This record gives sequence, C-alpha cells and structure tokens, in this order.
Amino acid sequence: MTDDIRQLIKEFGRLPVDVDTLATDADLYQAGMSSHASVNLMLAIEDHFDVEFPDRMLTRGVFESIDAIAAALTELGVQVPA
Amino acid sequence: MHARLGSNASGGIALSVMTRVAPLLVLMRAPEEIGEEQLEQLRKLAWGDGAAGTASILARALAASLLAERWGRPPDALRFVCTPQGKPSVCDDAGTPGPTFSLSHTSGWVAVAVGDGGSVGVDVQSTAEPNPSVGRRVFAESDRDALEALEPDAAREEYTRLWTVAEACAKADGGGLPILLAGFDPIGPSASGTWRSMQWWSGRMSGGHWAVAYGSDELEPGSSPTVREVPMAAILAPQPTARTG
Repeated sequence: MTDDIRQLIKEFGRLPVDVDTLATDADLYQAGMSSHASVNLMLAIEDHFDVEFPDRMLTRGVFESIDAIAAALTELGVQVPA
Repeated sequence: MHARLGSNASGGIALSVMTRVAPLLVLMRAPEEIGEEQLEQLRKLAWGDGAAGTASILARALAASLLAERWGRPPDALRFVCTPQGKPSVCDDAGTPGPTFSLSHTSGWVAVAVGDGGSVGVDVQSTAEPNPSVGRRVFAESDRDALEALEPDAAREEYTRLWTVAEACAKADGGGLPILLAGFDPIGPSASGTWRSMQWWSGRMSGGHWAVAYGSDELEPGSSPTVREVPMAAILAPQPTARTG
C-alpha cells in the first residue's frame, strides 16, 4: 500500500523533493506540499483505492505523511496485499 | 537574534503603515536555495519541527518576525499552537493570545497574513493546471461554467485564483477541507467579495495568485488589506542598535 501511496504523492503532491527519499513518517506539508496539491492527492487516493474519506477524516493530519494516509486507508478497510 | 521587519541597509521594507482594521498580507519570494548559515538563522526564528522543509521554515520565520514586531515581543517569547485542522495561533508565556495570523507557501513564495483579532486565512498558489475532480468537488456550477468558457491559459489563472479564494476562506473559518469538499459558494470574477461573515480579496503575484479572507465585526465594507512584498533579508537583518536618552 505504501508503494502505491508514494507513487500517488509523486504524481499529485508536487513536492520539491525526491519522494523516493521521504521517510514514511515524513511530514508532507513541511516537505512543501501545498493545500491545493493535498486535495489533488486526496482525490487521487479516493479514486485509486475506491474509497471515500468521511468528513471526520478530512483533517490535515490524515494526509500529512505516508504512514498517516496508510493508517486512514486501513481504517477504511483497504486491504494490504499479502 | 531579534530580527525585525523594518527599513534597513539590506533592503527591508518598513511596515509602519499597517492598518489596524483590515489584515496585513506580507509576501516573500522563497529563494531556490538558501545557504546553511541563513537557514540556521531562519530555523532559530521559526517554531516547530527542526526537520521542516525550507518553505515551511521560511513561512514560520516570517510569521514569527511579523508577529513579534506587531505584538511588541521578542520572537522567542512567542508560543505557537495548531488546531488539528492546522490553523495556528500564538500566545505568550502567560497565555495571553496574540494577533491572529495565517501562513501559506507555494512554489517560489511564502505568505503571512496578520489580523487584529478577527479570523484570518491566506493562501498563495503558483498557477496550477485545472483538475476537473477538484473543480467538481469544490467550485460552484457558475464558477465551473465560467472556467470552461476561458482559453486554457486564462482558465489556469482563474482556476488558481478561485482555489486561493476558497482555501483562504476555509482557513479563516478553521473548518478546513470539509468546507471545500462540501462545495464552496459561488465566487465569481471579482477580485474581492464576501463569504458568510467574512470579506475576501485576491490578487496576482509573479507566477501565481494570493487570496486573504478576514472576518471581523470592526471591518468596514470597502476595506482592503495592506499588501507588502519583503525580501528574505528583511527577517535576517540585524537588530538596530538601541538608542539611549
């Protein structure tokens, strides 16, 4: 799952840093992700994983790192491939 | 170091004309590269995670400098906290709340807006390629129709401007993403307008757009923000020599 998330961050996060070098707990906003890019990313994640984030999950914290996004997706029932 | 935003030999811009009612917006170009010595100075001014990215450090350092000057306290006396939605606030050691503020950064720019107690939100965004998914979720039908009628270059600019307005209002409100994704009210083509109890203004900068939203009972109709662009040197300038007598 984290590989997919990382790929989506590459495509939609518009980060000024090499996404491959980011730790999974690195703060994406502090790495330079704008609010607009975060919404692009969020919608791309919904589309890719076929989920919809409920309002309670639409917080900055849910999208601030690869780990946080993965945790949110797990909570929404997205399965991690064996 | 107690950095100040003021007139100085290295090119700072005096901010003595700050209005006491409408918000102040300060824009700063973010250099592509910052030397380690300057970055260390900025880190000392900024708050939070020492591993933050350069733009985040620059925005926080600018905010700390502005707030310290406006509030009349040294930067190291400021205490910053953030809500879960990311809305920052400042107080002193005694818990006395300071000026309201908001910060934003995008490719090549950082921005800080400061208010006199009213809810303030700012967004800067480098000109972005329109994302139809974002348009459908965020913008009103009338704004989407207006975008579709524009040539591609103009559509990119207007899409970016609409985004900054919606984002600035959501930040001022404090409600964050749910406000945007529930569908924002029509914004229209004007450079200023109102949303709920707030007033907003938008403008251009090189390569992008800014917007500021402000909600205050003291704000009179027709007010406009004070907008200043300052160089990075303005927050790295040495403290002026104290005068005696």
